[in-house]
Amino acid sequence: MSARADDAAVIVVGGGHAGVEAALAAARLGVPTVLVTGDPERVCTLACNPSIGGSAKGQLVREIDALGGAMARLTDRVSLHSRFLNESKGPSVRALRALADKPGYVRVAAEAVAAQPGLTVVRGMGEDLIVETGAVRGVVLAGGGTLRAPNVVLATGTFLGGKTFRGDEVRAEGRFGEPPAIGLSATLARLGFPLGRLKTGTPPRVDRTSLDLAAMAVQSPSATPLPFSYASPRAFAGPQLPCWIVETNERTHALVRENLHRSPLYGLDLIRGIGPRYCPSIEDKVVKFGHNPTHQVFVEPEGWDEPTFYVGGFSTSLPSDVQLAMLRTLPGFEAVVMLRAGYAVEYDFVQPTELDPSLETRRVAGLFHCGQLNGTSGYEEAAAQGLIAGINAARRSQGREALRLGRETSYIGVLIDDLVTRGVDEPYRMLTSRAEHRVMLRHDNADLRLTPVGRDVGLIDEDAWSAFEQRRDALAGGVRFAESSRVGPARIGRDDLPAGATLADALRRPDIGVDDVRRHFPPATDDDVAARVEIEIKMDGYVRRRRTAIDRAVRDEAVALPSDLDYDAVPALSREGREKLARIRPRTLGAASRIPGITPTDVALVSVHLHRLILATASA
Amino acid sequence: MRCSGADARTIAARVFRSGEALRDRVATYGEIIDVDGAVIDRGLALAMDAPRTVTGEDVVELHVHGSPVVARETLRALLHAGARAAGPGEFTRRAFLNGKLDLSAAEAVADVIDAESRAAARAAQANLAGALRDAVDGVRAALSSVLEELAGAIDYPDEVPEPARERVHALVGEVDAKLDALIGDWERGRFVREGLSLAIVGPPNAGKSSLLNALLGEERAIVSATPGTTRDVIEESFAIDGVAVRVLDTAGLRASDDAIERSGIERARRALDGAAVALVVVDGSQALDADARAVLENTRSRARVVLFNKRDLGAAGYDARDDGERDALSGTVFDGAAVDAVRRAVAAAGWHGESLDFARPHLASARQADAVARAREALAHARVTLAAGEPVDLIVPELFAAVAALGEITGAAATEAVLDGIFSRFCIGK
Ligand SMILES: Nc1nc2c(ncn2[C@@H]2O[C@H](COP(=O)(O)OP(=O)(O)O)[C@@H](O)[C@H]2O)c(=O)[nH]1
Ligand SMILES: [Mg+2]
Repeated sequence: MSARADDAAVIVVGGGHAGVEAALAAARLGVPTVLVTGDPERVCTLACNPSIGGSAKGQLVREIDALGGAMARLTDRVSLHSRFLNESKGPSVRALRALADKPGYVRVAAEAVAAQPGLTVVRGMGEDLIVETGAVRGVVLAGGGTLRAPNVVLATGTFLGGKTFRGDEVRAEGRFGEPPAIGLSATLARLGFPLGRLKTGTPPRVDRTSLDLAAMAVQSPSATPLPFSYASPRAFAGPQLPCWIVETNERTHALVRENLHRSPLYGLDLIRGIGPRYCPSIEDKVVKFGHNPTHQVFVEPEGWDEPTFYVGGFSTSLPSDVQLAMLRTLPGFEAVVMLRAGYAVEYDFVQPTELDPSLETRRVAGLFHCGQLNGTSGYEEAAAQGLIAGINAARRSQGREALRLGRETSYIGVLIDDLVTRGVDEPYRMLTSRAEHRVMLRHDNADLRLTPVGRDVGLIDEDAWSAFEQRRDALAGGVRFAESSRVGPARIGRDDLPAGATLADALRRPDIGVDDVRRHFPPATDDDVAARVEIEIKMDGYVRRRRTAIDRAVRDEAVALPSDLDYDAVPALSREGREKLARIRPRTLGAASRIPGITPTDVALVSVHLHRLILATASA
Repeated sequence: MRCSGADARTIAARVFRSGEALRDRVATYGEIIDVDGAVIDRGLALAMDAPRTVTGEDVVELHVHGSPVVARETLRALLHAGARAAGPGEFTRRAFLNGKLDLSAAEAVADVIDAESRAAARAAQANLAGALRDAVDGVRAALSSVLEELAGAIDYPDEVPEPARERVHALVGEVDAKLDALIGDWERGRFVREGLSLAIVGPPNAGKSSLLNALLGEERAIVSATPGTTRDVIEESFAIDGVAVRVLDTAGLRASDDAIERSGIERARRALDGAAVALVVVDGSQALDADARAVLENTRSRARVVLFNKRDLGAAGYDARDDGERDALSGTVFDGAAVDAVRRAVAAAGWHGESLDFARPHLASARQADAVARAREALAHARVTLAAGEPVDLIVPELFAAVAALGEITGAAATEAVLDGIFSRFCIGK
């Protein structure tokens, strides 16, 4: 063990998407950091699909970048297919999705970790936590050896108590072929954390050369480079590959039904964990949506030089022979060679209502939880939490106030608030529907929302900051220009603009886009800036309409609830309200109102009680 | 008188004296006593143990005679014995907090408690049966269903098709019409909830107090042959077609030198200003004097009913009436048919005789009406946005806002409901 590992201020356990963001952020904030991971060459494995981003998740990746995190930049270096989703559905839901070269992603992540000053990587698995007088003091590694530090970030993914299932084959694994972490589960239970079981699954991988791609519908990638990161060059990282779509049929479904008795979930009843509704296995699809004659299957390359294709939408834990037979029913799959069968994985998670929005546990000071351990699914959700946990572990060791992002600032804020106030009862996936202020939480403006925050935190270096300032000023200049320069009377497309109409008036018309009025901008205007001017102007009215709602929300957020508030002393509070508030301990009145089952009356009673307390303290 | 809470029985024992102990759900006869043991009244005590009670707590009800004095003394004794006077709506709130009622049912109970009239009670009962919740849920479900399609199409663009805009537009229109009806009933129903205020005005001795007594059907106001007897404003209430009418009998309106009478007249004017409908009574048996002409003149521009009284003594005044009083009533307060005509005229002037269909669900509180109004505002924005051809991302938040506002009435959370809908309707996910 290196000398540097001994004087760490932050230990991160787990080298997945959450752990790596956490470790990089903590180290970049100047805090000696140790990353404990099973295989330092295999950090940030894309264990399931090759896809990063997508609706709402793409916004998370953008926000990670705007705050100074790594995921966007890593993805841009290995993106082999990228595409904007929801282009026609409006700027606030437009989202970027990319397919990554899987081995490439692991390589660039491992490089970033290795190159990060102040970050020491320790090969190993966390086995136990050292906790003294309610505060974490370090980590005991499997096979002996301890690491001491006053801040520990747990980012153990699906490894806690992990079990994989395929037919009647049940193995103790956190991921295919990798041993689970058993000790840490016991530790967390011993410390009093409520553990639950969740389930997720992955589909089979097939040999790309065994497929007849001509029989499938093609989905082409964008013809222009679409990087996630504001800092990435506008260039393709390598050749852009298409994806394919096929559909299941009655024969596929018949095989599922005939073999349900061999399913660990249905017939064998081996799995207790709750699976995500938004990522159903093919068994779930056939059983729960039996009336659908077909289901879509997405055939995606896993890398530039990988022999495998990922069969999206076909997640299954049926025995391998059934999986192969089912694959063979798909068009173009008649001669398919299955390289690895799909499986289900069941793992422990800790109810995230145990956490402060800083992601520190309330039970053990200095202990942070992030990623799938908190019941989320998805690389992006994990990375976003990892970034916040890493930042806050570092800030805690520096004696600084934690960073807590509000729901109005970001999807990251929505994610964490949902987790800590509502808890999870199925793996949590980010969706645009979860963000009530989504007209403001856009792909385009993540930098305006979060780069100043990242700068304050210390993750935005001089270069990135001045690039941001340039973008921000150019955008503001562009909006001013559009508001003041007249283009009317004119006919643009189908629209007749009256005399005196400005460029902004033109852009406010739904039918008119920036391309229609590009010639009215100063020739030097950057394409990106012009596109953002259009969005700012089009969205302005809607954003202002949200303002009142946001101001109201922010006001409730400003009423802090003392962490030791005695809810038993609040008169007339319902039993359910009392129990939930005491358990979840919301930080603010706003957070209290979002807890499921807490009624407006409960909130009013707490508010009144709080006022009485404040009056009593003031007069004492 | 109802006493609710863990100490209800203890406190009741201090104010209720009887040979036997109170048993659960058995009425016991006994004496209500004050702090010194003096008997205030005789009556029944009915104990009901938690949790099968209105509030979900232990409850003791004391049934005493209706006299305000007895009621006041009993209340005082209870307070002495350690009880606390309930705040407005507190029983309902406790019931709600103890999980006995959902939000709209709780408000309906509050309405029953407050309802002075049979009509309001009927409106409230319709809500109690969950009719309001069903109606609002129906509207929410319709909105939610299209929202699920829109939100599903955004979050799963490869898998969920975007619904046709015309269909969304049509549905938003239908929903808005239903909400409009709820709000319309709410506005028309204002007098049902709040009652109608009616001021009886007219010169002294015209028969105002007599008319009030006739309307009430019993002797309440002091009737006297000496003009100016009613010096204060008397407030009573009665019902017309189930609507509570709060009626204010006033001092006669006339020029007077008497200081006490003048202050009574002043109060009469204020009562008149505050009332929804004026019931003007003049002596129609003889030519109108200056006071009578003045009051007719002053009330001409407002909702009013005019009665030329004392028909049994003659109709000289009535026959010589001005054009402004063409459709005035003529009769005598001693004649039941004439009093009925007054009732019908008040109904016509107060609520255009329209009777509300109380079998329909009704919004039960201003908070609910506000929630519906906010939902409609969001829908109006959604329609403008749809009509302008804006993309769906701008429509979805408005529909969410509408669903959330309606959820406040039934206590359901918008996001979760929509997500549940998406996942149960569409088979999505890779
Ligand atoms: N004959 C007759 N006497 C009436 C009639 N209405 C009221 N009175 C009498 O007129 C007097 C004054 O009545 P009151 O109701 O006190 O008048 P107010 O001063 O307007 O309240 C009483 O003696 C009543 O009995 C009526 O229609 N016919
Ligand atoms: Mg009188």
